[in-house]
Amino acid sequence: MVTYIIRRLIQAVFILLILTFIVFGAVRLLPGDPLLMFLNATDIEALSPEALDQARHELGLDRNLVVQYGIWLGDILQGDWGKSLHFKNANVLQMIGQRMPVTIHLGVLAFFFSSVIGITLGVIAAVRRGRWADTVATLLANTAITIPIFWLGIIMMLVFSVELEWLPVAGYTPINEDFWLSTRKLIMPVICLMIGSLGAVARLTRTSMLEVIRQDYIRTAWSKGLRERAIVIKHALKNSLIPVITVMGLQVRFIFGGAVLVEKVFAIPGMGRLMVEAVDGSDYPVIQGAVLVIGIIVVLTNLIVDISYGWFDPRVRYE
Amino acid sequence: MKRFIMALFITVLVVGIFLGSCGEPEETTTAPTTAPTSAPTSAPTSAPTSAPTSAPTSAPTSAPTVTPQYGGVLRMITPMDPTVLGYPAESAGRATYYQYAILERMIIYAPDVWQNQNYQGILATSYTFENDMKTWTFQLREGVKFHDGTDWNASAAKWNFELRKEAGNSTTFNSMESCNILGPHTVQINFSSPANTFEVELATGIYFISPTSFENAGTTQEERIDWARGHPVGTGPFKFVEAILGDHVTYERFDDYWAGKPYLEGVEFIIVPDATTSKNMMIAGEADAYIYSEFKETLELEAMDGFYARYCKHHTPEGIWPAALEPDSHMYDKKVREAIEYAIDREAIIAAISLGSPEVEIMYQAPIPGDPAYRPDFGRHYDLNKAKQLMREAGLENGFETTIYVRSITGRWADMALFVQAMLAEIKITVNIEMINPGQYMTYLLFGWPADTLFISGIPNEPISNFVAARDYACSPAGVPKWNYSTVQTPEMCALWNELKAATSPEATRAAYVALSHQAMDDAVGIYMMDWPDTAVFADYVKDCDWIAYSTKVWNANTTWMAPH
Repeated sequence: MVTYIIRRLIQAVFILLILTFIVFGAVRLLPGDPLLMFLNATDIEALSPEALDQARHELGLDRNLVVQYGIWLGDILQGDWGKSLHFKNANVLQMIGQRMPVTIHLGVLAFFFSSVIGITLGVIAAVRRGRWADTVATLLANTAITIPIFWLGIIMMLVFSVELEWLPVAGYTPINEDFWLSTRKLIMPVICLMIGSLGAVARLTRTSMLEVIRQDYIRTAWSKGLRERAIVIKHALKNSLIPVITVMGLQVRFIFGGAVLVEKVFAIPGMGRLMVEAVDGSDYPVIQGAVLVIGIIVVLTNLIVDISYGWFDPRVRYE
Repeated sequence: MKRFIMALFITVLVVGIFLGSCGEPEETTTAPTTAPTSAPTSAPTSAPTSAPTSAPTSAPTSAPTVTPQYGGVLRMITPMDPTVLGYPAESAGRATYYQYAILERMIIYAPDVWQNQNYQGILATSYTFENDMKTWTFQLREGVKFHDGTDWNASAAKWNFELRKEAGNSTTFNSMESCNILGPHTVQINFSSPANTFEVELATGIYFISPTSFENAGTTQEERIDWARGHPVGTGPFKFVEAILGDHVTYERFDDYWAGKPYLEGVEFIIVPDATTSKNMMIAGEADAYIYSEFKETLELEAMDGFYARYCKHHTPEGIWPAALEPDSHMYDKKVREAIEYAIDREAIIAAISLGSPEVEIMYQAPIPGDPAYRPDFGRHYDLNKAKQLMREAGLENGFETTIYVRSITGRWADMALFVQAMLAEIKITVNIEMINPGQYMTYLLFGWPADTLFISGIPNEPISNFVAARDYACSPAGVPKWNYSTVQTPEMCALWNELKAATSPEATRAAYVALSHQAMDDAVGIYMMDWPDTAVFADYVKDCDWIAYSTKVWNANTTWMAPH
């Protein structure tokens, strides 16, 4: 097990190197000179071509791609993540440090509720197959998958904030500052962010459960007179969760992707908005830093998912 | 029982979704029917010595006899983050409005600036210029304190001017030869060449910070600058508290403000990138003002009870500019540029994209009515036959292919590009539309547009038009960065531009400006389309707030107050 984890961690380092190098090169293919986003227009008018070249040199933008990447990587390893080209006073590591907890807060809640509700709906649909509960659960799961996040956010805002005045329209309050306000502000964003995952998890759980409950050992459990709850939860659910866990691991990527929309609609200062603003402003250091952090999270999540297979199915071996 | 609870839950969920889809308030989809906000009606401030102790306009719904009240934090929604707050040498772009309430300038535009080109004194009470506009002497306001408790005086002014020169990023300050203290509150600045745009620069972009706070902020200049970028210490009516990028920026009242204690306890900018969310926050009472509002949302909120909107015109004319620097390009030929202009039906385009608002006006030239360069009868109005005739005369009756670049910051320009594409097809010009991001836009703007293309953009305008003309019609060799709004550089225009830059008196500057502007019109350098206003919406309890009342560069935050609500 330990060997397996070490091997996967070494693989993760290579994955991150490849990922960051691809992103490093890709952002430089974006049209537009990043120097012009760093210096403002009046600066550039006043600067001589030599001074512009000097500014480009100081930012390291005049070197070849591999050298630039090497310097960036070296600086990252020493804790220097650079400074934003757009927000000149902002340290990239600090910016990510401010934004990442917000997205993680949002993402963890979305992940938790989409998993719990999705699995519950899936189980109900499978166990009550062909009955009204199955129809309703399946309908809800399909609806959840097809609802556009942006539309749902606006509609919920109009209903629950503008009309009913139950929830704040937008914004973010850290949980340690005001727990209830923080929770109220996150209800709608979390629903938006989890809705797609919820549907996917519910559908997959249903399918997987249906396969498992047809197995002989489940029939045996029924014939032994075990209670339904024990059969479903203890015997069927655990064994049907392996494909679900795989999908849940993949949902982490979609949560970061969905955060781009949700954070914009609900004015949440998280990683999604930071990434969009950085790409729009050709802010290389921020894009690279953010991709690295998100990459680490996704890679580690996948590792955790892989390790968890062994708990769900003891037949899985890591050698 | 379990089934009943489950059924109830599902019913509530489904009904909620259906109700939600019908839940938008009727007002939000209703076409605006109220009259536009009236223009500022108060008497213009004429002398540059007046202090901003009263707002030039009041809210349209406020009663004039109401006594201002102290208290409350004004929550203003804005779509943009601040970039640099406290290091004036790097203040640029629209986000400088974050500085209006905390840092101050020597002078700002007076309410009658568009009509009479007047300024109003803030940190300077008067000033003179001599020696062909190379020597400027300022009498500074006394009794002014920085937020750190230190005094504003001649030595602080000199220190700030020298900081600007040291930054090396201002054409004007690069030519500063010396700065002398003539008295405790008198300072003189000497330039090596006529500084005939210095007044505009003082009024729009030269803010003053505390030398003491700056000098104590680090051991190296780099450290101090880095600190100052995020820690503005000025003389404004409010003190900086904190800035959380992507979330909010907050200020608190500065009780020792020289023009009297401000009414508001504080100001909070709430950064909300989405226009629909911003509108909903206003309706839900989670904000008191929405600045740089989207046009559609502004009209919708204005049509509702409890809000008033403000439209600030002339600051951002929008249009289409041909890249005509290359002698072998089609657009180098004036006839082609004229043909394009005649083929575009401005009225049809503006009727389609202005959502029926009378606040958007058609433009046929850069100067606005009242400007000394304005020509009442000038304009290449839509005339398809004339356009075709000009194309024939240019030998291009079979047309050509071009690209129109559109900045991705507003969908309005993309709509405009589609209309232009269809209209130019009538004279057999095939137009490809390409959206460009801010980085790409800046690259093209400063280093030149690809030959034979067009681009759509707004152009930052100022009431003192010679400043804008000097920027837009600049003549410089290829490769030297400049503002490439206009890319037409005829010998006549370059001669007039040099004349404008060398003007040594206000009269000479004005005459050169008028001549250059007329030449630009005759040379068909750009297709001015419309005067698209900057907008803001306020809750009706926000009183005496002169935000964009007459200029996007002015906000006397000390006069703003809020009625009980």
